Amino acid sequence: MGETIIAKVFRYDPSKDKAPYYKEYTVPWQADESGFMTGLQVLHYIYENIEPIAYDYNCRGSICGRCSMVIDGKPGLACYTALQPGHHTFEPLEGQPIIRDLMIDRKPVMKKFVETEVAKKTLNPVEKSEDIEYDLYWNTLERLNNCRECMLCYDVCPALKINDHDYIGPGAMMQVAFRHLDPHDEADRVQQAVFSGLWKCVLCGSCELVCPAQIPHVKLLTILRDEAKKRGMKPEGSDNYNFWKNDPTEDGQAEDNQTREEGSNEYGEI
Amino acid sequence: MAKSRRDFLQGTASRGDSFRAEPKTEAVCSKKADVEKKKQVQFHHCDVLVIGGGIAGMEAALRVVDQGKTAIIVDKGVFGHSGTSGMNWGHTYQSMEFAPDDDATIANTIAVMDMVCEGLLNQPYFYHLLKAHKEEKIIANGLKYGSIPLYNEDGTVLSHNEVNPQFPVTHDQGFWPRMMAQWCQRNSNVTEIIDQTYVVDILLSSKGRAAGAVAIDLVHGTPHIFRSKATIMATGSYCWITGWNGMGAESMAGKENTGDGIAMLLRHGVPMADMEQFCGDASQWTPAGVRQTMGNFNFDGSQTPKDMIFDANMVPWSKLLEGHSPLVNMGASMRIFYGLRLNGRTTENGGCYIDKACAPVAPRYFRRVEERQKELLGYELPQYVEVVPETWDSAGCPRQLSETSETMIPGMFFAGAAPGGVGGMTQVAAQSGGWIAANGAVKTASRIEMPDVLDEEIQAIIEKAYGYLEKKPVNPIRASQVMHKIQQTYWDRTYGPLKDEAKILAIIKELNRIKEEDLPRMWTADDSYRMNCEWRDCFEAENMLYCALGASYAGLMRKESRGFHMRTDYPDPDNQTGLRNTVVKLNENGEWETEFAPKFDQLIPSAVLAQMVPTDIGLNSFAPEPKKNAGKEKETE
Repeated sequence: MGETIIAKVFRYDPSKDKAPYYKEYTVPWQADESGFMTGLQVLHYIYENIEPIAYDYNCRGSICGRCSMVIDGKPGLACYTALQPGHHTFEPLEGQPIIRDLMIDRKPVMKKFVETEVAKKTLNPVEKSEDIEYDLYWNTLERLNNCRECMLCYDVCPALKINDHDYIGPGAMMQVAFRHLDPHDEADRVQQAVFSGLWKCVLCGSCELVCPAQIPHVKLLTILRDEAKKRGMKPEGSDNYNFWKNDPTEDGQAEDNQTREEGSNEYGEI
Repeated sequence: MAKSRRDFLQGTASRGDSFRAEPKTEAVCSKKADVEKKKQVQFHHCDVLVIGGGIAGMEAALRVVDQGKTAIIVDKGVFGHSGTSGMNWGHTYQSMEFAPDDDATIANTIAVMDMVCEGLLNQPYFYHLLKAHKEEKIIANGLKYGSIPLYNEDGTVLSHNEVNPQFPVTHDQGFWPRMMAQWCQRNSNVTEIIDQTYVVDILLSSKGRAAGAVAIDLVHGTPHIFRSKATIMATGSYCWITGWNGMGAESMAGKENTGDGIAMLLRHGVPMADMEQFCGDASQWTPAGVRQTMGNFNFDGSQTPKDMIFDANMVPWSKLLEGHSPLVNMGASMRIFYGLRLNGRTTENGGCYIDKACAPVAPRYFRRVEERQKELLGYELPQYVEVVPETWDSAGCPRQLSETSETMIPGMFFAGAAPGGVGGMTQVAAQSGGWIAANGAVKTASRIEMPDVLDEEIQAIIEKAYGYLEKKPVNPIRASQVMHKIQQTYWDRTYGPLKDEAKILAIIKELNRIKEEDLPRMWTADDSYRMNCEWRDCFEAENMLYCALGASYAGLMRKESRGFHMRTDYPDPDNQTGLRNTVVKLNENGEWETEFAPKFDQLIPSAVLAQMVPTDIGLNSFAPEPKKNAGKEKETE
């Protein structure tokens, strides 16, 4: 009795509000035997019983990727974020135009996804599927298939925060990797990856941590980089982590990262 | 949008950065601002307007553009992520591509389909859908768009790229609609895509021809006027009317499946067939917040072995089904399910148990659901998972559909119909429906001039739409509350579709009361024009009301239990009277007309079907048994 969730929700209506603000709502705790309430349940309660807020959802089961937001500072799908009684904050994804409250405009990022041309490029039409070995399918391609386009990886990516003009971002890069690994595809996806900012990634692995489809981002990026390096497509002066060097807007800061070890990491030589 | 590192370090490139990207136009929101909004009309002219951006809509628009005409998709959700298509990541392929192209094969398929649909299939329409498959190449296109199909443990393609001789439709390939959506957005493969824009009504010319639509841009609150030579209605199902459990309807479909297209057509006098029918499946009940996962199970016995499903006392279905016909189609499995519920043999939530060991049999959804729930939610799936039945598609569609899916309204095509869709096969209906509708729409668009539209008509629609925002009724009621009233009236939590005549009459009475009393006092607590979810709910509530009324009137007519239609006063299917379609129509005076229409059965006559469709499982086939709650004990063991 009496347990509640205090939800601090980011509110902003660009047509009316001069600035965004936070508003607190008290939501009664209602969990079943699973022992938690999801973020989406909390938002539903506010919308139905307290006042209208703008948030988006569709499937209630981590499939459609529409309820992506930042809950307690951690980006995730509201429908798959388990909450306990207490204080929680709800914020929209960072770095995207805000439509209203927790809804962001997905079009700018979606454009990057579309530009990767995820459709298979083949000389002759593909008529039927070919056999694929178990691990490549279940642990890689099947997960890539299931990308939610939820934009969570765009929220966390530090490389994008520095420049988003010549890096397509983690999600779209994964689509390039998807086609690179696909036995059908006949286009040069390694080259595409390099020119889409393959070496801008800092291998921090944040995208992998938040990915609801559990795509092995770092492993796939490493595969692409290995391939690129073999073909001599590694831009001069770039190493695993020193994206600072590649940033045209800054000089003199590159030394900061020189101390970092070059050449290899836990995934091997890159 | 480009941010420098300094911005980043100073913390200014964080969330606050986004605000600058958004132009602030209106400082105040007043009556005057409303007039301004209404004036900010955007006009669009195209050959073919496609309403709805799911698989059906995308297929239709791609086909139209492929044939040299212009097509605009208008979608109320986020394009590629809306409705059932948007949530069915990994939808099944169903295609006749690998089957021989002869009428005998198609007739064979239709016979099986009609049995699965318990004898309600619109055969000639389905014939045209299946005919389109060869040309359409669903599987080849799915691969081209970028999907990787479903594989077995040994690395072979699940479908083996070949047909099942018993049922020539190739199944279970795995089709990712998001990649099709990306294809649509590339290279102007579709002329224009306008999403987050709600079509509030269709436009008809003075001669009664489809002439476009009026929509509201939900993001900016401005009107869009579409003029087109042909219109394709691909708005999907009305599953969102089936109950409300706090998180959603008792449906695996999404919040956009409110049947807005069906309701618009009903309001324009188009007769609808089989509105009382849905297709259903069972989905996981706990955890509450995510109960409508796609972690569903197929209860037709083909994917989930019958000895892995149990009632609340852990009696396996295989034991229940001893001595019954071997074909347990979706309709019969739902009758078992609700029969058990009716006789007090289900769990408190009205569910049964399923052994999660069936996961390898249904790898598409289930395998990953278990993994994700463990990793992302910290929820361990028990050995026996409690599942409740839910709807996932509705069967109601226009009674009259030509071979190019044209409805009674000239120039108005319908895509995504699952005629007699009790048994599913909704992708066949969606994709091929889009294909044949596009063929028809292109033909129409090459033949006619742009139909005229009366300016007053457009104005009236816009006024009505903005009326929801402007009015301040006495004793107001919020739109979302009206929606839930409709849902809970049509489909209550305890009995769901189990109804008798008195109950259906009471439902109709209550729905009519909502129409008379609640709709006029429905208002939006939120008065902003920008992404006003309540305003959208006003449109949705009205559309859902029409669908719920249509479905109830249709249900009143069908005095038997068939498919997802369950009558406690007529608990068994009756092939003598039941192999007909219910038709409901809203006439000019706003009254509902109902009739039982003979079934379209050109390929497999109803007399033959009556012998084929099994009727041995009714709602009372499995007698009541005292509840021991053994399931719970076993679950916690």
